[in-house]
Amino acid sequence: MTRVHQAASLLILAFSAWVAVAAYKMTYWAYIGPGPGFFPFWLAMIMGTLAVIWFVQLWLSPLPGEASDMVPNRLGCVRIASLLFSAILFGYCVERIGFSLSMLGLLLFLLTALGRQKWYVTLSISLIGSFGVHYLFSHHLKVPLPPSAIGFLNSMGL
Amino acid sequence: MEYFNDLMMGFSVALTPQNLMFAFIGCVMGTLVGVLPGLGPAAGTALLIPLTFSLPPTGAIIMLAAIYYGSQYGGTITSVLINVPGEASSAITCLDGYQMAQQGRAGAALAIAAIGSFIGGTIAVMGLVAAAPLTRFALEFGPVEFFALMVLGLTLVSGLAGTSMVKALISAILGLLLGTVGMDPAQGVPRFTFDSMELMEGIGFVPVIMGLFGISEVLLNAEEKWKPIITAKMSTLWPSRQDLKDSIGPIFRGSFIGFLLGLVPGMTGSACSFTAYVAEKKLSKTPEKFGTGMIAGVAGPESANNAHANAAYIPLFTLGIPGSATVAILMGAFMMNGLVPGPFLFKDHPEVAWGVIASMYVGNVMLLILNLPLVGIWVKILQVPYSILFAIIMGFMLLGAYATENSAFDIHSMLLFGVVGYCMRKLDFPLAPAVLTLILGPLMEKNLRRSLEMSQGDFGILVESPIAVGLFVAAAVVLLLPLLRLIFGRRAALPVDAE
Repeated sequence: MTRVHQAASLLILAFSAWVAVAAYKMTYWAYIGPGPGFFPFWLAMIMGTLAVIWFVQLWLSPLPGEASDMVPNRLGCVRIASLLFSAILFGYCVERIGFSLSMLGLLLFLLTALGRQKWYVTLSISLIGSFGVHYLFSHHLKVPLPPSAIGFLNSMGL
Repeated sequence: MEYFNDLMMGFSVALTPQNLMFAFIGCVMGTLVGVLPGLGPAAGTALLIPLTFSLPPTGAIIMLAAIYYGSQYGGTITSVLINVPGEASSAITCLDGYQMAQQGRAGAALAIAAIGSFIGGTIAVMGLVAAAPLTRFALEFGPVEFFALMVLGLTLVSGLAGTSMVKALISAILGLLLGTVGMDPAQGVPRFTFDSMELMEGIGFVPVIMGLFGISEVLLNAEEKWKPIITAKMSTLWPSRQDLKDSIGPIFRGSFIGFLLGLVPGMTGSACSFTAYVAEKKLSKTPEKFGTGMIAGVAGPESANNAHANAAYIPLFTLGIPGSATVAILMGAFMMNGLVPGPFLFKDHPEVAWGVIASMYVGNVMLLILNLPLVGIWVKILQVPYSILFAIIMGFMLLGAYATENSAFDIHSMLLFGVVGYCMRKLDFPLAPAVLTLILGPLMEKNLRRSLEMSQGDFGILVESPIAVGLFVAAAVVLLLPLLRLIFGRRAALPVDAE
């Protein structure tokens, strides 16, 4: 467990160093006062110092437990990867095939593959969650959601 | 008298049919958020922001505020019926509430919790009205005092969140750094934008909050085994005369504790309810019976957490400092609607400030009337398995992230911050400081730079004002608290909450 936390502290230290360098390259001080780099530079310096303190704290009093305690089991890993992958795919598709079809696909996948629901439950939630929500947001809440960029799907009102 | 007239004007705004409807929807949604385990008030409020996009600013804020205090009512239901807190501040209610449910007194526990929450919430809203004159004092603040105030707010939040101040401060600085992304407001120079057009306007707070709180919560729940929920049986809803008699003292004491602690930025609802529980146990003639179904163990904490939820608006409305993650989200919603919470809100938009305050009175009455008859419906909703809920929550978050700016970029940034939030939770980092500073960061930087521009680079300006010096000293004391704890032993430790 301690190793994982120490690795995280080093990662934060590296991130702080990168921010500090990037901020310093911006104008640190302008003729009227602090420049755009001033605030992030000092934030990065403080963050780096805190990362070092955290590392030393862990070195002085190691945490109990194994690194493997932090890793989810196989089922958990599959679920997390599936959730993230399907959400990324949704983000990629939403402006191409439209909100309704993207959401329909996402809900069908999540409820079938991960939720393991009966087909009629899956289908009804997916239809309401995609076409129903699209109708509610577009017509009643006046929040526009993207239509499909593909001609024939668009002409079908999708 | 002037403030009484203002409050009456607020009621005239809050009692319009449209705003009553927004408060009602907010109360119902908030209770739902509180009822559903695995969806806290911060994630729930962020999740429901898209519903307010087309609303007028006052209606939007009324609805979002109602979601927050409504969630405090809802959290109790799951604590009592299934021994799982709907949100962190109701965790302590499990101890006696669930025991009461096991004895067939779930109805009495829920009724006392609703009455206690109503009284706690109402006392805190009255405190909010009484605190309004403070805004005159805050109007005298210049950039130096505002910067010092924000430093104090930041240290308080970091000092009270989580178990490690170092981690809380890292989390706070991460939020401040995220706030610097985009075009520099003073000189028009892009900062950390990687030549991306989407990043020029900065990182949107809705995707960040939804990611940090919502997505990370779904990912953490994905690790668990999804079990069916079994609820305790309900008998009569009405508490006995003895229950009422035994609850009066705890309700008022809990309300007082929750109100006082709610004024401190960073003090969490669970710390308040825990303090109220400990106080009741200490004052009880039969402390050994706590944990076996004592009504005082429900009345005190429930009054305290609702008083806290309402009192947490006082630093926001008077000074522009959000006291908790959910209030910070509400502050972001104010800003999205072109309003800046703080002393100027009362001056420039009194109808919004007083309208929202008056709506809190109305909302608390609504929740009291609604919650008892609706308990049966909430129990039914509780029985919806998480294997269905996760997909609905995920779908709604993707919709919300997209609808904020009509951009798929926001979906991907939400997912990125979801992974960041997941890792932070795994490493025991508190998320609240990051959210607070993400919202406060640009204001903090603006005030610091303005101060230094006024003094032509002389840092001495930061310690010229006695108010600023007082605020900096208070911040230093908070920062040094862990050191003082080490020196004087652990008894000085403040109650903390891991969110």
